[in-house]
Amino acid sequence: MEDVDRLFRLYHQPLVRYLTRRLGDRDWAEEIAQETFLRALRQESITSERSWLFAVATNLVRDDARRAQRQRGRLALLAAEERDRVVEPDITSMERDEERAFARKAVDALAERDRLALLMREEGLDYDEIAAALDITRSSVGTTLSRARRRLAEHYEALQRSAEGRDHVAG
Amino acid sequence: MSQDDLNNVGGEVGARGEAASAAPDDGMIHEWLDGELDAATSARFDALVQSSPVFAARVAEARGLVAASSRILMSLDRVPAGVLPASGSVSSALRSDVTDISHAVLGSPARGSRAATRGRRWARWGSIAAMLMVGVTSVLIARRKPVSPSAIAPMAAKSDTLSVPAAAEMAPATTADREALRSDMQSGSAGAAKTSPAASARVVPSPDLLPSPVSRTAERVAADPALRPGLSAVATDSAQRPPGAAIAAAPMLARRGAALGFSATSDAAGTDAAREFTPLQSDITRSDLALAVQRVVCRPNCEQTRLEFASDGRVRRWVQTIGGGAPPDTGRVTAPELRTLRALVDSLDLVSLPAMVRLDGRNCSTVGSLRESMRVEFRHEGAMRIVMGLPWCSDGTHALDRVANAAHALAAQQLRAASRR
Repeated sequence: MEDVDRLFRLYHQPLVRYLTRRLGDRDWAEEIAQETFLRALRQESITSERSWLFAVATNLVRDDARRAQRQRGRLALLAAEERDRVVEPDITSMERDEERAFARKAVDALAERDRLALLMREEGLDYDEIAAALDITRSSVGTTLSRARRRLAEHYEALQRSAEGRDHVAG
Repeated sequence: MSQDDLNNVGGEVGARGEAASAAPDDGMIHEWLDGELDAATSARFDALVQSSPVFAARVAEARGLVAASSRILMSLDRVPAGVLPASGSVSSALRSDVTDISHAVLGSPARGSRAATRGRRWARWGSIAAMLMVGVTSVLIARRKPVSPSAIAPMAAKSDTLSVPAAAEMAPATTADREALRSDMQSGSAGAAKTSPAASARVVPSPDLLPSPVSRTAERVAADPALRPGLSAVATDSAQRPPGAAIAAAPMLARRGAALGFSATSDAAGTDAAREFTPLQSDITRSDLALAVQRVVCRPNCEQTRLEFASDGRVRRWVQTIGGGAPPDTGRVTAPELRTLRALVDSLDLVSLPAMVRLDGRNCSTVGSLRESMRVEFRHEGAMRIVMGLPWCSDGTHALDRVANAAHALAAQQLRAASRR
């Protein structure tokens, strides 16, 4: 693929943003994006390049997540031990941190397909590209996005209400 | 909207294998809002929105969902990279005090790049200065009780409310005031010599542990209300200048000293502070200062540094970077930092600390390059907690200004409240 420079310039930033939003970890997102472009480099030709890149990146995330799952089990045990040993300081009270945490929870609460469709749409992929990347029919993209947006907003608002309720009780 | 209209649009849905008799479903509305419908169907939607309030309401709701989801997703973009927290205990830090002190005397071994070291030093001393400013001011205010009404009268007369007096309401500064302050800050000991004996006795921390010119100036300022108008104007000047100009215009020490000037905080901030101000319970002791957390956040293109100091067995320092740059650094709090923290703890009359001071983003939004909102909170939630979120970019002194101003805003309230009593 001789055109990888152009692809990189065009799509690296949105791809990293998409992956960062998906994963909550920019380092990881950068790694996946690099691997995606490496794979593009190995391709002789790519049709529907944007949907191809996003689809490959999404699959890489899945593969990575499967590999990481085994490690996470052990890390969870260690984290539990650490929590028992150390009382964590109740650190953050900055609203921005709270908003980000709520957003992360709300996004994570979405079904995988809804989440990916929404994140891809936010990066400007059109319905055809989203359908191609997620291997779904074009006619179901609107419904998927509608459901994803509604659930995201509902989850987020529920988290906010819950936090406000806690503050009210504490106050 | 007539049923025929609905069905016509619904027919588009039906053509794609969905319920033909229904009104346009949410998916189709989103498809329309996303510009994914063909021109003819879009035109029908336009007409339906015009003619049917019910349909228009559904579209409005969908628009709201589109906007809300975008906003929510955007808040995910502030994800730091290279976060490597490290923790150690105070006890282990104490065990290596000798090593740290020797490093302090002989020079610390290099950890990370020179830029990273410089950033740490800035953050460290900036954070300490901020804590000291808040602490010293609180101490001074507490020890001023009982307050003579005559001493507070000039300030109380300026404002009958609990809001912070705006800078413009304060008496104008004289050049002599400012020059005296600068001279005082730069000479340090000379400034102390001008301080009244009673005020001198108020400084609890050992002078060699504190940036003496600043603390003595703070003491002098708090002891002498007559100085406040002058300092107010200095601080106001600082806040109104472009950040770059502020940096170029005065040496760092002078700016930090100016940060002890008061009343640059907006009325809105003062109102917030007034609403949330609650004195701590009198049974709070020094041991309640179990945790002092300081967070220094730097954006956009410089080191993002997060520092945490804790006196109950947890001392951490995280240095984060955004998008590369200096490598993550972990380290234990140094002996000088610990000593300063202890001195601060010893010096705090915790009863005098406000339960909560809050500054929100509005207060920082008018200050040049500051990108992050700053918040200072003192809370009593079983354990004492101090959280400082400071923007710490090229113009971090403005953040310190704000901390000092916040501290003084509360101090002024206490004075006014005392005068009323």
